[in-house]
Amino acid sequence: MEYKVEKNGDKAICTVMGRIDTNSAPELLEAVDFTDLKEMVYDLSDVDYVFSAGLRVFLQAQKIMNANGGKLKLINVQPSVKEIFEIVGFTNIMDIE
Amino acid sequence: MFTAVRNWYRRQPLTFKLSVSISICVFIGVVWLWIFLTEHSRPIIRSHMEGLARRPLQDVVKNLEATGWETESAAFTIKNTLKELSSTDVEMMRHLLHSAMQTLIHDESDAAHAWVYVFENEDVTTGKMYSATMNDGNFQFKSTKITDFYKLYPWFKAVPKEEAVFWSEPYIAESFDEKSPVITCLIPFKFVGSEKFDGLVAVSMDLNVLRKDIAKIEKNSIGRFWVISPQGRFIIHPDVNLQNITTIQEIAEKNKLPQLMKAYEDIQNQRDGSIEIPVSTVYDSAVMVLYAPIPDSKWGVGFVCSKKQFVGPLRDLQVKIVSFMLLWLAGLLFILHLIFRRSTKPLYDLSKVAIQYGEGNFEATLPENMPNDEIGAMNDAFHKMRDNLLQHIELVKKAAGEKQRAKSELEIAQKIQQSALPVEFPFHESFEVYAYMTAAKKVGGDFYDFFYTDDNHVAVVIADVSGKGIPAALYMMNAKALIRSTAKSGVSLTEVFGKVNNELCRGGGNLFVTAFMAVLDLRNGELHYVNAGHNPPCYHGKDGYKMMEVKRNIVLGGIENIVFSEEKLQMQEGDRMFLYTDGVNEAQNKAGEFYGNERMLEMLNRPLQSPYDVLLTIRNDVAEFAAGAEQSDDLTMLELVYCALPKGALTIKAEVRFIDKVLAYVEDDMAKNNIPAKQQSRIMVATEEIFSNIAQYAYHSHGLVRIYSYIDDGSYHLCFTDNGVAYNPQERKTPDLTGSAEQRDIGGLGIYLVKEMTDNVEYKRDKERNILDISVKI
Repeated sequence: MEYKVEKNGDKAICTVMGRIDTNSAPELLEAVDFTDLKEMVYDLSDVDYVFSAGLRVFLQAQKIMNANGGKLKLINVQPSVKEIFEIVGFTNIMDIE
Repeated sequence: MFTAVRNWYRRQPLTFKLSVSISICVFIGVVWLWIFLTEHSRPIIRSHMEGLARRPLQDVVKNLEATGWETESAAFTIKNTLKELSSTDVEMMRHLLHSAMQTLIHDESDAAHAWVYVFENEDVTTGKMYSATMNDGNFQFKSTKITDFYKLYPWFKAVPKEEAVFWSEPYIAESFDEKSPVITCLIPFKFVGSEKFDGLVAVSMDLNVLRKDIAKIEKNSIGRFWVISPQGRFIIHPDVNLQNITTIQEIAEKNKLPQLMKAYEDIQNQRDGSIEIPVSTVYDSAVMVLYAPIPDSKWGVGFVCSKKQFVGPLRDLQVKIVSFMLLWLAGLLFILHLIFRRSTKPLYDLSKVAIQYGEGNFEATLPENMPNDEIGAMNDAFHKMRDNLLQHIELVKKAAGEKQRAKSELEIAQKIQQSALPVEFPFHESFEVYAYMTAAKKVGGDFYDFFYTDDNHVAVVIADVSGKGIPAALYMMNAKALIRSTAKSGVSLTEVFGKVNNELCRGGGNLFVTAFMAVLDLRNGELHYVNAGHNPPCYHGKDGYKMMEVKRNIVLGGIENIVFSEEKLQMQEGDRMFLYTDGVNEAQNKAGEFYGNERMLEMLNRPLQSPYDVLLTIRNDVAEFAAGAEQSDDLTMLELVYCALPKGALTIKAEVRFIDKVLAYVEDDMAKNNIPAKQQSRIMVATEEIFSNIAQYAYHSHGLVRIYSYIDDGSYHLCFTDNGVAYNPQERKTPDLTGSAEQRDIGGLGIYLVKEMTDNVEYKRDKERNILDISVKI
């Protein structure tokens, strides 16, 4: 997995590439400084697989953003990945495009 | 508190302690001397003081005796003369009284008074009184008719009508010019030829005169006097108010002073003595009273003086003695301190040297000019000690060098041994092998080994060389190398051990090795094995570990040209073989008991143990059994596991870092099998979840995961097997998938995903293995 974080004021975009697995997931959560962040966007256009460890990262991120009073967005999510989000019911609690 | 003082005292220098000890002894001596002086000097001083006090007392007694005697003798003279007269010789009576008066007058100021009472009837009521007075040199004589004696002189009644002297109680004689207290001496008399007493002769004594005399004596003495009459009445008393009125008995009773009664009784019985009165009304303090009777009478004289005057000089003496002693004590302490400091200085010097010796500086010179006493002896002892220490250190250095050599030899042996052992356990889809060894301190002869003889055969060896140290280590290296080089493809184990035995025997020496070797055919699980005098292995088939029945044969390196019989068995999938050396079953505890095969089997058969866990369990249990007893032999174990898996299976260490390898293997396998893309991604997700789960939770330490696939009945199956703790994903509950982000639990999604992404999940537990089979329809 590789990633790139762009931060602009209280807005951040994290572009992720590859698989978000047990090994790499914790790193992804630590990649972004959530302090005072109002909008967090993950661009998952180049992500083939998100495993449960990755799901946990997004759930954690969602909880942090809720606490910050901001919002979380997952954009460019591939159908195979979106299926996983649907199975675990994350589509109800997250803004997924 | 006591402990604190004691600790403080212990910290003080020797000089101080000695001084304190001696001071305490001397102080006790001073106190004892004080008590001794007090106790022994008191009676001496007292008797001396009493002697001093007795002198004025005797003076007074003599004075009184003389005065009394004078008065009495005057009365007697009158009485004896009246014996020659008749009642009518008045002129003679006047003359008689006049001459008697003159004997009583000593100087012009003296006054004297005498009477003669003549009774006219027997009941002594009427009569005549002839009275004579001498005052300032003038003599008066007159006769008076008396009608009732008793009325006039009531005390007459007390006068005995017999020939004896009677002294009256004091009374105020009005006939004197000045009203002065007098006492009167009375003697009955008879006129010539008379049969009965005709009257009384009375001569009075002026007490004022007596008091003046006593006052003179008192001036030069340390106390005051009292005089008591035979009736006990105070004729003279320091307290003038008591004079003539109070008796000694009354005072004794009133003030509860029985000693006064004793004094009175003594006086009555003509004894003298002394008494003490704690609180005297005269002195307001404790007093001594010395008393003496007037000889041949019942009169008594007492001398009262303050007790202080007796004890005072004694106190002074004591204070002087003790002050002197304390001064002397201070001087003594000072001198002692100087002496002790001088005596202990060499000790300090010695202790300084001792410290330097302790730091290893034996060049420190001992002090010179030591006194020829105990300290001198100690100094000599120090000299000897230093010489002995230097010798001893030389010896120790030598010994340490030798020990170091021996130790390093052992270390080398152990290094040889350790370096010869393979540490990387191979992973192959058809078998697992794990080994463990703890070397004992002094032995280095055990070894294990595993290697491929060709692509389809793996060999395992365990062995124990007799002997210890470098020779054993080298022998072991040799044996191990011989076995490896001899065990080639197609060579039977009988041949291998036969050749190795002959080679070892040719090498000579008296060492030998016990060994067990097995070769597993990875294609079918056929296991060939041979034993050379080694412990039989334990085999885990259907029902746990059991001791194998193995032909023992003879050790390697003992006798040449031995034919070692080879045996074989068929291993089933999941079967295990446990090899060990006698460091396990013959481990001893402090009581000398052996660990034994039974306990070893019990530990092997504890449930839920992976192959590697089994080795750790045995190691820990042996350590617990030995409980601190030194490990006497190397402890070596090896476990071989057979896994008959389809070709193309992946065997990989159960560690999260290998996730990419696992996913790559699965992806590759699915591509080979033309699995549709959608199913592929589902299997990928499930694989990631299952492998990371095993990697994180299945094993306590090392362990492997095997993954293989097969197609059956239109489904693609993927199997995961591991030897870890039992784990059935089917038993996991479905996590709550509703609710807000805050209400959602962060875990538990993985297994749910596996179930959701696949069409079927099956789990079984077999021979302590987990087998998880997932499948998707294609």
